[in-house]
Amino acid sequence: MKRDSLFLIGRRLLQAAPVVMGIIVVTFILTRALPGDPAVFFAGPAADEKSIAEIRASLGLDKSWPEQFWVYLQNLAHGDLGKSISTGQPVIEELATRLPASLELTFMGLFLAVAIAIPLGILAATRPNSLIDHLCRLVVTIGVSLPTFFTGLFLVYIFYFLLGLSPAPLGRLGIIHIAPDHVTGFYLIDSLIAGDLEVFRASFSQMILPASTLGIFALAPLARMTRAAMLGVLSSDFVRTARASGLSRRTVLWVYAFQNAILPVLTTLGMVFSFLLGANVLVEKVFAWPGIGSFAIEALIASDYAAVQGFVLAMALMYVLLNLAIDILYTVVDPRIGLEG
Amino acid sequence: MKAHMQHLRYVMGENPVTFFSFILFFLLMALGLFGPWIAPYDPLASDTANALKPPTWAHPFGTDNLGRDVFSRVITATRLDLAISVAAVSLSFVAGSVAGVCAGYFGGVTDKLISRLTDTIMAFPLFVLAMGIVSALGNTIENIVYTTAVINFPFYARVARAEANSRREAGFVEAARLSGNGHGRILLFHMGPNIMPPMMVQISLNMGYAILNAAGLSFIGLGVRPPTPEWGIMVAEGAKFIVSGEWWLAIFPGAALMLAVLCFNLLGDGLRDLIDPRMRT
Amino acid sequence: MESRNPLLVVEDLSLEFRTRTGVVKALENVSFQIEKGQTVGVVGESGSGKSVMSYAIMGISDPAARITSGRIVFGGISLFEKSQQELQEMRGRELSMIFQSPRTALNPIRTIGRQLEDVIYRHSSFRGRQIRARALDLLNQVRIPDPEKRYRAYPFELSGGMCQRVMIAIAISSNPWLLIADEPVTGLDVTTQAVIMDLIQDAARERNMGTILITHDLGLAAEYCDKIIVMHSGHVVEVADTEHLFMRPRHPYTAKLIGATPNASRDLAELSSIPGNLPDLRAELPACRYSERCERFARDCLESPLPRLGTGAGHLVACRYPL
Ligand SMILES: Nc1ncnc2c1ncn2[C@@H]1O[C@H](COP(=O)(O)OP(=O)(O)OP(=O)(O)O)[C@@H](O)[C@H]1O
Ligand code: SF4
Ligand SMILES: [Mg+2]
Repeated sequence: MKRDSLFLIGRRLLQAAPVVMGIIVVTFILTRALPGDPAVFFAGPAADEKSIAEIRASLGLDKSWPEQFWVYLQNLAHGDLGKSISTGQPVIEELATRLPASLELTFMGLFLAVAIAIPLGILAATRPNSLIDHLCRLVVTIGVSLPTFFTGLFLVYIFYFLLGLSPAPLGRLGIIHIAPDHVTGFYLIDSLIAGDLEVFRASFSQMILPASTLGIFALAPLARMTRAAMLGVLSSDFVRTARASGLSRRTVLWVYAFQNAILPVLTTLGMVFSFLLGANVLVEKVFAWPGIGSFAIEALIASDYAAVQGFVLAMALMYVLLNLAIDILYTVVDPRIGLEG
Repeated sequence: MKAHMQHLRYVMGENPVTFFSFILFFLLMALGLFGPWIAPYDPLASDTANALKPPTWAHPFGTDNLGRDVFSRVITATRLDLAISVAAVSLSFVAGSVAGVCAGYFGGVTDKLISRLTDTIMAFPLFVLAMGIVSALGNTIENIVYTTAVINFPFYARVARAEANSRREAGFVEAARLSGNGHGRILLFHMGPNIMPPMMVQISLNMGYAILNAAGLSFIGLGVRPPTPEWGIMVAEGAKFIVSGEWWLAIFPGAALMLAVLCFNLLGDGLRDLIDPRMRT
Repeated sequence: MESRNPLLVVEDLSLEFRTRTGVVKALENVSFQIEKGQTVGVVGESGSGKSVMSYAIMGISDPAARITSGRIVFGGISLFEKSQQELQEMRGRELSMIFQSPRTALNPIRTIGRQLEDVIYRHSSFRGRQIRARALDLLNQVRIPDPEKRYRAYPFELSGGMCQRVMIAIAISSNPWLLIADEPVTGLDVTTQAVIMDLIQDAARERNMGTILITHDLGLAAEYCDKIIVMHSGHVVEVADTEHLFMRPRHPYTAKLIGATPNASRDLAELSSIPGNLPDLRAELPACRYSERCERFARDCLESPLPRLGTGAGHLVACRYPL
């Protein structure tokens, strides 16, 4: 079984290759193969003739497309995504320094969503047409219709302006606190490593509103899927068998029903993550969160071309990675997987 | 047809929510068509003496930092927001249907190519891809429309492909082929009408997403430029004032946006129940 | 034949489902009884309420189900007076059930060994290694070849026949008094059918276990059952010893069933030669639910109560003009 799993995981990795290739081709098209002169784009609005010519040469834009693509691939292999015009730094470094802020926020949002959506979906499925079922449906319907930036501003108004419970929506830490020493880049973890509970508390309270905003956004699809999957499984033959063999309600619900229902939820999680990576950009703007989303917005407004495309590529690769992780998890949880593929 | 109407009435009666969404839909359409005439004030006229006033009878949604009437701006914005998403959804519907039906009907290489294309688009976080495309094409309203169309394309292509695929061997297609119809005729007159119902469901489910997406892009400063009234950009402009308590600037356009999206989502659910009651969850 | 303390008595059982489209009267005044060690067949067309009845006995009816009258007495105890908790503990220990389509009746992502262990853990005092030993012993009893290896297999890795053996192992793990087998061999090939039926019969004999065998296959019922209950649209229309029933069916429906299966081994499911449809169980129904299809129909067949005639030796028929 163990070796089978490894084999399956290896095969899954191979299957990801064409997807990654597709992503690279699309970003290449977005960066090079456009109408107009990419060199002008890359040089930015303030560039003169000379710097444009330099950039053209350095990007190899005087060469044929296949050659350019080859150069592009080589640059990628070296982690070279070009330079950001607004900051003058290599794009990859800019992204790397900001990535932890975004990831910490996204994971926190996802965690909140999962922590609420799954119990909610299960309760709704085990008590059809009860109050909690109706609540679940309401949450699902409203949840998918809420624009993230609107939710965020609404929460700020309530919890910061009216109730004064939250700090001002201005980034990861208030000015009176100093960021903990960089270990993981996640403030919550780094502050614990440094043993600084005060900073932990402060960064937690900064994070709670933006994370909730993302959480509310991700809640709906997850709760919907959990409910549907659980309903399906609860009326399945094998749950009937489990009940007929007198297994306790708890065993039937958790070991038999839930473990099967979690599989489609896992698949939904991938899709939700895709939405979250997009929503993250909006939430970062609302809360002045210094992550890669804010960076990308600034770059977009400043026509900082390399920075935006670097951002798109990085996000897409991250999404591929996450999907891979989910698939691998799936392979481990579901013994049937090998047969179908 | 009569059975359809009966079923429609049944769904409506059973489900007051669907009824509510129909009302909302007609309201939105009315605002989209007649908004500029309904709005009590000129959405662009500033009146600095009356800036940042909270809601009153004269200005039910208050006034913004330039003294413009928020109510009039929210109403006028309906047309632009709907126009962007309707245009985008129409584009992806047409392109997606054609591509999907061809993929499903012809199979083989056509299918492989089109599937690879949709898979590649879906491999990106869609909003992020939208940002990348807008930055590459240039920051204009038309490009927002094209971009939104591109990221919604896979949904239509996939539905159309699945439908066409399952009907490829169906009796009526076979009969049409035997009676000497060319591929073009079969696709247009025999496949086309048959894939419409699921595609309609897809449209109404997708419309809300398209609106959210376009508004999201303008919220981060792409596409629509101030002072044009548009919900996303109005929320963005009002965001600055939330922390000082002038909530009406951002909340009203945000709420309008939410209601519009809610309306299409509910319609989509209702339509799905109508067309295929088994898909209910 | 009727003893003083039967294993199971079902008396006047009526059950309905409240659904959005109306109340489905799935069972009405169902009565019969089973002795220890007896094998009783339940036959009838699809939709006649065989499964609904067995779920009611097991206490695993759909939440939409309401029992509107009657009682079920098992081993001298009335089941409806038991708490949910007590019923749960009886299931799998004193009352067991196996189902049609064994491959979907087992948890797809749990090894069969674990599923067997779950039930043993629940109902016995075995712990630790003993559980595994007992589970392997059970797999041996149902003659699964190479049980050590099969122990770690998932249901999808086994054939339907193998899965049904596992189901039987689970069902008999606590030596229950009653086993309900709901179409246990439908969908299996003929040789496997015989093997599975023999397994069930042997297990029942060894334990002096009562068995309810629900089937579409009259031949199967004739071969393995001591007594047969004929159901139609939620009614028990005839109960008799197997020999009596086949020699001298009294209810027109039974006669049709037997007449329609000449070699007594054809499957009722593929049999469409009984004219007319099953009545819609949501409508107002006449006293005799077979009346629309019956050749002996007379006006007073619609009047309740329909006589329940005892014609000696435990042969009961619910009909106004029996054959
Ligand atoms: N949960 C339910 N809700 C409503 N009606 C139900 C439900 N379960 C069963 N019924 C109805 O009860 C009747 C008896 O069903 P049942 O499954 O017992 O038939 P059966 O004799 O087992 O048939 P088969 O041979 O096909 O298994 C059917 O008319 C069925 O539609
Ligand atoms: S009661 Fe009348 S209608 Fe019903 S089976 Fe007997 S003879 Fe036929
Ligand atoms: Mg049944």
